[in-house]
Amino acid sequence: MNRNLIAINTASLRADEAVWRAVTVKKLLPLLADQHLIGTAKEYALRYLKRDRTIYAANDKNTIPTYKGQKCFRIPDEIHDDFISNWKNSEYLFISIEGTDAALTVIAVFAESAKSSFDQISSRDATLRLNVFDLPPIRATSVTSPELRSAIYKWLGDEHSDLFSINAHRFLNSTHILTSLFAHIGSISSKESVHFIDRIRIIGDHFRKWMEPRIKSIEKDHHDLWGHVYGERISFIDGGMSRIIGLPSVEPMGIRVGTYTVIPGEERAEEREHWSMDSAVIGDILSDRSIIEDQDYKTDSKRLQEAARYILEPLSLLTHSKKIPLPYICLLHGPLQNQFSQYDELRPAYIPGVDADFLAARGIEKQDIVNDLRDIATTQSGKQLWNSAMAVYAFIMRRINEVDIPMLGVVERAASKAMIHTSLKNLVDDGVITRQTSSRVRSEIMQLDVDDQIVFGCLLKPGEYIEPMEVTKNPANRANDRWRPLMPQIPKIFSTVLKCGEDAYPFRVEFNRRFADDKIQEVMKLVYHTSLLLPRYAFPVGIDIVDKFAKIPDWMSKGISSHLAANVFRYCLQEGDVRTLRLMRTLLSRSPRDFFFRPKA
Amino acid sequence: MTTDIEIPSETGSDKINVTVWGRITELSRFNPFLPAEATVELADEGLSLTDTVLSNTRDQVEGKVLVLGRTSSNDYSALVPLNYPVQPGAVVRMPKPADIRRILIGDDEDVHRLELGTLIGRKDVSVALKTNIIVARHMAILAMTGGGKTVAARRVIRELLDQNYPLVILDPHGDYLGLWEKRKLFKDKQINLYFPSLSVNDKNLGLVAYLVSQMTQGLTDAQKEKFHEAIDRIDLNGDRELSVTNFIDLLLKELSGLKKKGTHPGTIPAVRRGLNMVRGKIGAMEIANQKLRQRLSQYKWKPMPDPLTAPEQFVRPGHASIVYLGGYDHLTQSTIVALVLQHLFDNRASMANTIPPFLTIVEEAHNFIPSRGEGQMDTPSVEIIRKVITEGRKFGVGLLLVSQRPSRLDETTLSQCNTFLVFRLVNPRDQAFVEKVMENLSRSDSKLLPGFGPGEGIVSGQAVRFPLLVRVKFDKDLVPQGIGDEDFLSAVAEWTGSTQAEAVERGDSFEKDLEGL
Repeated sequence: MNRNLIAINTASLRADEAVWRAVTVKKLLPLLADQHLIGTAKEYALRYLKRDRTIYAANDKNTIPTYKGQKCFRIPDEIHDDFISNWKNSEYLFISIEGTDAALTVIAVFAESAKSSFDQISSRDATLRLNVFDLPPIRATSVTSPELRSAIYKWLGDEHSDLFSINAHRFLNSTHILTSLFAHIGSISSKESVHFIDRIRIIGDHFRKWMEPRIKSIEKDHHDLWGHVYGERISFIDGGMSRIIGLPSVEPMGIRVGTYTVIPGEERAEEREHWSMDSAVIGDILSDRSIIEDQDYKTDSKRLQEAARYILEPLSLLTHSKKIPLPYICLLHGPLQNQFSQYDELRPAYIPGVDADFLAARGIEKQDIVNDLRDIATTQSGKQLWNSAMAVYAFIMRRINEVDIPMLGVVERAASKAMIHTSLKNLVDDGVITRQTSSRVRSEIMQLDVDDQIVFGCLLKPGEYIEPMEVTKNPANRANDRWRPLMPQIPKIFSTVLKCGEDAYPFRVEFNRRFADDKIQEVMKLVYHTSLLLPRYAFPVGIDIVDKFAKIPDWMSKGISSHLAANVFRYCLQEGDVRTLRLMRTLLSRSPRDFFFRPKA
Repeated sequence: MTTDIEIPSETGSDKINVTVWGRITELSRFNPFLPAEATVELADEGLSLTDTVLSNTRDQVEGKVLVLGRTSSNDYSALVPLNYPVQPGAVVRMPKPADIRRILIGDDEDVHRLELGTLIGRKDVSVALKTNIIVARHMAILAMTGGGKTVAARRVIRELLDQNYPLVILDPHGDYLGLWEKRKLFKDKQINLYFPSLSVNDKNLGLVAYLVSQMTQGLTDAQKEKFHEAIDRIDLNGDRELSVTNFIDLLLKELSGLKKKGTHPGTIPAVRRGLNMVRGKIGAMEIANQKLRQRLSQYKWKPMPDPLTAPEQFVRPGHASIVYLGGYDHLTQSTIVALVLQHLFDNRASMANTIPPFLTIVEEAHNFIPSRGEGQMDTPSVEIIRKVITEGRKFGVGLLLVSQRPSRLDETTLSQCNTFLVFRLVNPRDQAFVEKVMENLSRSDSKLLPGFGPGEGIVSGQAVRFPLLVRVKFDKDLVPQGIGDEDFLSAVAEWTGSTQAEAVERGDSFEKDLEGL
């Protein structure tokens, strides 16, 4: 992206009748300096800092007029008075011209005096020799020295970060974001690709302006934060899966959910850290095939794995939340609540019912579910599907919602657009933007195919998050008819997006319920600071720790050959003892080196 | 470390239980749950790990083990190469001291051993070297300054003296003078302190010719004729013995009386020049050596006996003869070493039976057998040291080479040593050289060299069954009191000036006054 800069002495040009007439009467701002600065561009977008410090941004393109042989920028009617007033009350005007011929942006910002601008710029770097480059300007100076231009841009960016979209610039220009954007640009049309970055930046800019009151900021202060959570129990939870290669069936699939609980400030190692593992195989979780009515069914193996994991993870979280002494907060790696409507016993998933013994072992009986949920679906023969994955999941979600402790789902690399859509809906509901603008933004986002992490990456600064928004993850219309009445009983969750590093993607944080603002701030402060402990990865370090802990090692996934697994099962089946069979399956989902993560083969 | 495994027997029909022995070559400790970038943030922010959610209880220690071989599960005496893989996941054990001793010694229980120290990390396991291998097949001790080579050499000397084994110590810097100071610790042993004193008698008339050939450009045939003519005129019959310088004075006198007729006019002056050169050098160095000895007046010095005529004064059972070479230049030191070694070796090789087998300790060995790259291949001692290292074994003449710059040593000579004791070496060139010369030194072993502490090293070769990491026993009682680092600060404080300095000061004062005009 090209960047050019012109510094204008407003006082001296007020005395120039031709220029002053162009500004006041013709409402044009002559380029005054080198005409080639705008290249062959025919149109431009204007951004301007008004006297009340708000930003005027006209993203619709203006044509570039010519006045007395000089190229000019048009001063829009709605800001003309403000512009004249600014001109009269300021000594200098900076005009930044950036972008390409196809997408030119002009940014105008006044400076009251040399003291408020040039003195500050030179005080930052004593080696800059402003006078050599005719600065401060006597009339109009095009800043040609790259070092000087960069120094002035740095100062302007720090002073007016929103006007210059510094945050979006830095985010979009960081190497790894650019790399992924480049890959993304390859998947959209060439026409869209040309203006891709500029259009994202504009979306980010506007979104930020609209969302401003909903953006919360956290100050980095490790000592304050860790002092605040001193002696509290903080839990991190994550699940892992393994497949035994060579067996014709997808089963048995090992699932384990690891928990890492730590007490900051506790010096005694045995008291400070607690590690636990909840292990199971899919067949032990989803085993009741009697609830599937279709005689010619074939369970969707991928969905079966997902359903088992989506049930075991929150169930472990729920169990953990009740452990005495109670944790201060629980953070789950991944969504707190999933879109679960596709995991029913009907076509195409054909998910078996949850094993009653599995539930009982975790303190859940049939009566608990039946008493808690209304309109549980029944089979055609009238059998109540109380242990269907759908009902069990709804029950678990309702229990999690009731927990007073903050239960968080932390989602990295979220490719969804859910937060954008929810934000737009809220903005329309609150009257911040019109339905038409919302549709226009939606269409732009669809066209560019950008997701939450790119848009919020542009609009948020490090340490900022969006006020948690109520999100419906399981709308009734997505469920099969028989399960529709159940869906509204699944509680809504509250989602936010937090950005931890300048050039890092933001991540989504889901809350189990609505908490008071100060509690949310307290919790987000903890999430932010645990992420700062991984400054480059910018993700809560405790989740990274439990992720490694819960991973099923390679040797278990790949190393156990079909020969071994088949022999083990043949032996168990010959024994005819269900307990032995269950034990063997559970053992296969465990690792003897329970804290190892993926050892080298 | 050991691990018990089952391997197929050689006939393949059944399986046998064996114990596999290994040496830990690398240890690392890491915590998979503590990301490196988190530690950077902790440091930047001045945070304590325990105040955060980071984990510090799951660190792991991982060791790499070099397999040494296998033994029977119930008898550790015979160590043979392992030719079957170790069982993955097998339990690894730390063997008992008695078991390690067994594996270190094997079946050779009756062989005399020289106690060197203990295994690094296993103070309860002593390391001993086969004495006969050391004295007959040569050994090299290599280390940088402060690495422990003198401590190790003292250890070997003490052990050998205990066995009454004769020792000749060629000491350029006086590192071994302390042995004389501590002579009472060596009961019934004799420590001799010699300073080089080259004398000529009727049996070694060739000495001066040898010195002239080594210390000058040598003589032409015509010059040699005149030289020998002059020698023939000197009467050294009977017990008459002259110092080299006095003998040269006599020669010079005789040369001036020779007939010049029939010879080139430049012949006699050339011989005179050569002799004057040798006399000047030796004279100056004798004075330097004398001054050094005067500073070490507490020691009882004796002039070095003639190795040709009196080898038994050098080499006797229970005797350690230290030849202090301080004050002599490199060439002269080398000439003296060559002279001593040559005569003693010849004596043994001639089967004269006047001296018993002995071991020569050559300190600063890189000065006496420099590598070809050093451009000092004409160093007089090279030839005889090469001869001793290749043929010495037959005649009971052993060498212990001590050096702090292994890469400056002659590779061929060094590689003939059968036992190596290598301490800390930081110079990469020295490390690479040692790795090249020592057949048994693995890559992982050579990586250990820069990390050794004082007295810690690796011993390898025929004196041990396999390379061992050893901490050499420090003989504290042998540390000399009389020799230490000089106190230069006190010397400067007590400095009263010199005549020359006073003269310079007067001149400075005059210049200063002139400048003031």
